[in-house]
Amino acid sequence: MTHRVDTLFRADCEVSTGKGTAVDEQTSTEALLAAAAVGNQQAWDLLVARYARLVWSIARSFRLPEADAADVSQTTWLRLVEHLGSIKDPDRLAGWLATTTRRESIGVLRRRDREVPIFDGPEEEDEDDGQDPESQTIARDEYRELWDAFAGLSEKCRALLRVLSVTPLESYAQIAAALRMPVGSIGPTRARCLDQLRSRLAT
Amino acid sequence: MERNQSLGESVDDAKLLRRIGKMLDEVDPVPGDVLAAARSAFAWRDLDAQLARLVDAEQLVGSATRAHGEHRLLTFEAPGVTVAIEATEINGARKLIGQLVPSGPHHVALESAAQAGQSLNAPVDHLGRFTLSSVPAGLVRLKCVMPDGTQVVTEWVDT
Repeated sequence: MTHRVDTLFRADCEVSTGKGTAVDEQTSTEALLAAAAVGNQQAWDLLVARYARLVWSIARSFRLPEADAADVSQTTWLRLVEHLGSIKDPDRLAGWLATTTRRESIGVLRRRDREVPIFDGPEEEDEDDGQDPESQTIARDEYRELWDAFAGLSEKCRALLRVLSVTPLESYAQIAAALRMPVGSIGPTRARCLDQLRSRLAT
Repeated sequence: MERNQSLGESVDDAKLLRRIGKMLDEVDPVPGDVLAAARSAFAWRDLDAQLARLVDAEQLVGSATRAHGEHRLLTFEAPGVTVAIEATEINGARKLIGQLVPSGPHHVALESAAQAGQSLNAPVDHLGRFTLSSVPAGLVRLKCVMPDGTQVVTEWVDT
């Protein structure tokens, strides 16, 4: 890995960042973006580690099968490579990734002639149609109860909770905007969905 | 914090949400090859090239002769240059017919995100026109060098 990072450095970046610029899990998103923008592969890898779950959760919340979600994820990260120089604000990064993942997911659904579901959909609990990537058996008993309760929620609730579970609180507004949800409704909806989950857990 | 209140944040909710996150990490984790692909996307970074953004994508329909084929018009723009492409897919074979405005480059290269390090090249005529056949499925982009030495690369697009 290390030599790969080195080969990706260009002479002109070494001046500004230095080959030894240390980045790690504690480095701020802003600093990682800046380092990646001048060619630091390690900073890029850390950004991927930090946001891959967000990108994946959004693609999957569109009920994309694994292969399609994988394509959407790759496209999203390739687009970030293209636009690295123009994103500075770390809060905007979560929103930008969410917006891009959403757009690419909808593109895949359109190409497949499938309905575009979720975030503005009804909150009623729906029947499991077996199409859902989430309908799979869990080997781990630890989460079985939670999973069963979760799987019984409405599609909207599952999608929202899935995405919010990997979203830091400070990025909620960005994510809400990216998912076309009114920012003011995200908190109450989240509370309602969690209450529904709790009552399912209790029974 | 007022903001937290408006978002309905409570300790119990935060805990439950964290459990959901952990459960999903178990049940539907980001696959290893997806993570690897995300990391290697960085190798496509192209500092020296001017990005031509997709400004218009039009699906052409209603042409009886192409009833069984996909037919799209894509337009990319970078400062000083426009790349217009007509993409067709007939029986699974993808083909691009394009034009660079203004003309100038002598050839264009097509890169495929699935095939790093390889490209498909086509000559460009004096009017800026070019044709690429056997275009791979999935994300591709076009690259060319303007007479003043500026490199131009289009956004990735699935033709």
